[in-house]
Amino acid sequence: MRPDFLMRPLHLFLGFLALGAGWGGCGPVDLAGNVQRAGPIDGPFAVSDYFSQSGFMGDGMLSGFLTASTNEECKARPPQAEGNCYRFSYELGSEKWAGSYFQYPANNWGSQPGRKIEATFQDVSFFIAAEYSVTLPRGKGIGVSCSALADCRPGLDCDAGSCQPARSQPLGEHCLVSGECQGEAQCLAQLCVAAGAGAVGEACALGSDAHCAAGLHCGVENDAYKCLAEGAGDVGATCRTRNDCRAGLYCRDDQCAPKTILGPFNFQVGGIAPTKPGLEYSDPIGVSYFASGDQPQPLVGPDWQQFTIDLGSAGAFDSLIGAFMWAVPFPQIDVMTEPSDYPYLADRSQPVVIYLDGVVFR
Amino acid sequence: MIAWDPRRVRQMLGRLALLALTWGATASAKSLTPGEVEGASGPRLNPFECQGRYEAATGNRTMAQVRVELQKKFDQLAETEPASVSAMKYCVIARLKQRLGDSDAGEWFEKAIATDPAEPGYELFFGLYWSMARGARAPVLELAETHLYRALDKLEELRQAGLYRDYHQTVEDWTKKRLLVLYQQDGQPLLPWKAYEQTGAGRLAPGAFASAQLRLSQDTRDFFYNSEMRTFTGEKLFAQSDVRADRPLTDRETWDLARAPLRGQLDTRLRLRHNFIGAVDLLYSAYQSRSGQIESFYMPTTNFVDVNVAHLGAGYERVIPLYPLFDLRLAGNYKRIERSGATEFLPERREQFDSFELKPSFSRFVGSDKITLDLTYVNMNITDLPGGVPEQALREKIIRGGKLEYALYSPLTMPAFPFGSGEPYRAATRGWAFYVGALQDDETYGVRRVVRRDLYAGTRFDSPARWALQLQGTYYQSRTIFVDPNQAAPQERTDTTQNFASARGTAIYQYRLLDPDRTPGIGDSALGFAPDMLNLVIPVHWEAAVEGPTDYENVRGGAELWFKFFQQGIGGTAFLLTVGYDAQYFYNLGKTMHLFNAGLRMGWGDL
Repeated sequence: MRPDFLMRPLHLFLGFLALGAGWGGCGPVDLAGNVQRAGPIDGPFAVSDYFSQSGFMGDGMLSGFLTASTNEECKARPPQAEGNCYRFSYELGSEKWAGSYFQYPANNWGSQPGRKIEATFQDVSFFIAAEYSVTLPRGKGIGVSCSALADCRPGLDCDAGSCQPARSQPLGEHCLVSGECQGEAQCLAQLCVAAGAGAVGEACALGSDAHCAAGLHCGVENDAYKCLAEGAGDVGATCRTRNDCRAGLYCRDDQCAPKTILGPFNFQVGGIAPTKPGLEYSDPIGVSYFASGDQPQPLVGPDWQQFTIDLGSAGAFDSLIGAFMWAVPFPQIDVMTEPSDYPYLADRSQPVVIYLDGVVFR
Repeated sequence: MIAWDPRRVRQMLGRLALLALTWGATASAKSLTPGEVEGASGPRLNPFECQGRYEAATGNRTMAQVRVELQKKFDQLAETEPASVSAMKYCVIARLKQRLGDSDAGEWFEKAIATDPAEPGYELFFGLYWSMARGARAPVLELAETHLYRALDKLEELRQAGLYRDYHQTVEDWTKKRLLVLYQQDGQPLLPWKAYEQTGAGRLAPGAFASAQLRLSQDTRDFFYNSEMRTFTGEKLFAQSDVRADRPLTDRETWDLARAPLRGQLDTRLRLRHNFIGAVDLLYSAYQSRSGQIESFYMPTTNFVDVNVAHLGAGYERVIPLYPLFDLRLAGNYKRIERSGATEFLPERREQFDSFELKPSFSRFVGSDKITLDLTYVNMNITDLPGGVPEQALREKIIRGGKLEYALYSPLTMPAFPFGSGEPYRAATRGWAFYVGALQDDETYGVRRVVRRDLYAGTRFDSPARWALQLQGTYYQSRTIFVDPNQAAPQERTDTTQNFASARGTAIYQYRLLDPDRTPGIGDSALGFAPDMLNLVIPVHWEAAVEGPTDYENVRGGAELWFKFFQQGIGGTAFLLTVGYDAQYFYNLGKTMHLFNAGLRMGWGDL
């Protein structure tokens, strides 16, 4: 073809037009190409693969109180955990509780149908851990020089010029480390409880010191929780692992800190129902962990704890809007009675941190 | 009865003066013997005779008549003429061919140069051809500068040979001014060779330029001139949707969404330029809008957050002449962008992502007119939402656009109503362009996609006098499409609750208070600064709904001043200072907003 052919105005115009049209064809891919599995879910699945962690509730409804990060700043993941891991940072708001739903699609409270499901599932299991800071009582800590009892914090004696555990707190009284408790006791979540029978080297479930005999704590050996001699670190001491800290404490951000227990938690599968006119869809099931058996509403400590919600009694279901939900009150606010001399309140200026991992339908 | 149109009188007097100058200079050159002129036999001619003959052959003529004049010029070629005369005639032919849009105009310029190789004026005219006539949205800079620097070389040779005449000073002024304008978008020269006042050594020497643009505004629209009505309506519809507030917004919320955040943007660029390569850019930019972004669409007016964007990138630009097909402008860049404040619910979240941009332009003469196709492709690989459901987490933004423009440069018969009798006169305009364009912005949010389309058509008339007028109509459409993963074979569907469309009419009147084309050389300077251009711009817009909510229909009008000046002291840099004010009235809300913008640019890109 001679160039002259292209020099004719009409041909040139049409050529440019064709070029522009061709250019317009360089668009984004088909949306259908973004769908990872089209059609109903038909086998075991991780909730995070299909449901968005989006439905913030309670204090989470207002911006800035409940912040979620996904696959970032997670705790060391439990073995064989599937799906995403989540870290929630919860700061106290006016509602005094917070929660979050995994929804399909994101932010769906019943305005749209849920994700279709074809298989029959037996249960939903997940790992969760939680921790928060406590306000420390006044007074010096273990090993710090003192001249009188009043110099030391509650639970410690001024012994030979330094503060030392007094072993004076009876069962049910408050403590920071197990050494403050009377007799064969452990300090569990700032309360003296009866010590367990676990000897050195024996397993201690959930990392709980309460399983171990007095003078021991639940440490880690070969990646397993075992009763070991407690460490020497008091609150605030530098640590590399929990083995460096005294019983009643654990290593948090390289410092020995009081081991806390958060709860009671509410866990639920399904349960989204229209709450106002215009919402027309709802979940066919609503199974909460509490309702599924005789177990009390769970409390959660800083170590991973696995829960399973039995779906056996829920019957068949073919879709879900809200696949999984957790909710929890801010610690010791309107939930637990506060003794007038209660020294170990949650530090309201610090966020509660909740870790969630491996939420799986099987 | 003879109607004395002052404009025609001025044009005639100007031509007579130019002819007198060239003839006078030619007469004085006739005292030289042929042997004194290196490379060309015959009398030493003032190259502006080429300009004078060209103007005489084109004044008050149609293009068909100019074609006839061109044929006469061919007929007047004689083999026995002295070379310097032939060169001048070749130059006239080249200029006429340039005017007619003939693709072989360049060959005649080359012929003129080859015939009278000592004459710098022909190099200047060839340089002007590449810089003012050819190119696509930008001059064919490398060829233009080649001939302009050769003109400077030849001027220097004439000076050293004692053959530098008075008119050569004009050639030199025009050449240096043209080089200054050629690099005006590049910014402040950092190396001496391409800096004002240039010498012939600049052609193959590298150039390095720094440019900076600072823009501030308190405006309802962003720096990309997006439709504010579409922005606000889209926000309202999404906030009302069943995946957010799921209720009609209150009147107060609707009112508050119409906002004019304070915005600032600093663009900096280091441009490296070489005749063999083109322009390679290193880019850095920072942008902030204060309280401009909705934090949560559940409560859309409760909190507006800052948006911060910074990018670091590299770009390339060059115009390549591919005649007889077309001139092609290659332009593109890559940017690494860091952004915060743009993610709903997570105002502190920092995203880092890549952006690629291609902006080729194709341009060609059609007779004396010019047709230009501009294409745009931007792919912003926005960070996927971290940890979300894979099929809902994908984020991507692709912008595609095309604009086809036909610019009339033929002389037009126009009424002479301002001062004359109303008798029409024919005048060469600065161009009358007609254009149509389309832009599509696809922003993907997992299995949903917001599709925004602009369709526009307009015309811009640059009168032979000081004013210009642009009229444009734009149709804006917004759609949200989605697929349902529950379907075994998902089909794209439209979320009709998010559909809306609007139309905008725009009129922009521009008046040149200080006209750069009236000063071919560098104007008088004060304290090293020479004013070059001062434009008064009056934009008026009206925007109305075609489909969907009418809340944000508005009228808007204002005034802007555009002032360009050259700094001659340190290398010669072009500055552009703009200030503007607009008043905008959202008549369905009863809300009036006062909007301001200002910008200072040292070198610039696409405005």
